Amino acid sequence: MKIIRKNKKDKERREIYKQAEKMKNMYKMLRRNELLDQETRNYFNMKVTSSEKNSSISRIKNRCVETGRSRGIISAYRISRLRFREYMKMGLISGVKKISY
Amino acid sequence: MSVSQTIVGNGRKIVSFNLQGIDKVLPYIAKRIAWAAKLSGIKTVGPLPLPSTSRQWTVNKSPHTDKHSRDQYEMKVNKRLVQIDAPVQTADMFVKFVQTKLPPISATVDIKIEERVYLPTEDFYSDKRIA
Repeated sequence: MKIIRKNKKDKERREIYKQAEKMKNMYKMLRRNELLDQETRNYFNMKVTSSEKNSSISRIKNRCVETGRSRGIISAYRISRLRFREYMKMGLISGVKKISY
Repeated sequence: MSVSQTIVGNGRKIVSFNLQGIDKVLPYIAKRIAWAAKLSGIKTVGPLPLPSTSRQWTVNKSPHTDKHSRDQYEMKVNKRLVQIDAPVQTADMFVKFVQTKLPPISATVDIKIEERVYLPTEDFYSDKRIA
């Protein structure tokens, strides 16, 4: 299977997010802690705002593992809706069938 | 004198076989397990149908625009429960039998086994207790 550049980038971002998640969440809690003085809160706010931009969860995007498509992803199977329909019609996805109601 | 409780007999075990499947073969496998238990003389309940869960996806048919044209897909998971009540050794032998000897369980059927053991003890005030 060919390596899709966007999927590779997304994987890198997930790694960065995983490493930075805990500490960044701590800073976020501390910067709104009203028991601390304003100077300390400003310091933690600066820590949050100046952190690596790829460490944000909003930079992570579910993508199709085969085509790299970023919209219409069936996250249970990690493929896009177009590939999902193809495979479903070929009978390759176990247990899934078309319904009409 | 110290009071101690004594285990009476070997105890009993209630084993639950929870089966989940996505196709038509599930009822036959559940029935087979129940029949094997009944023919062995084990006290058996089941197979009991449990509520099925389903998961649906609605996707656009077209690669580009045509928002109103869609497909609905569903994966429905059916469940069956078989329970046996037997002495511990008998229950263990039956579980091993189901896991190894029973004709092969389909790849689309998932089976989870839960066990509860009951070791009865003498009553606190029984005159048979051992000091």
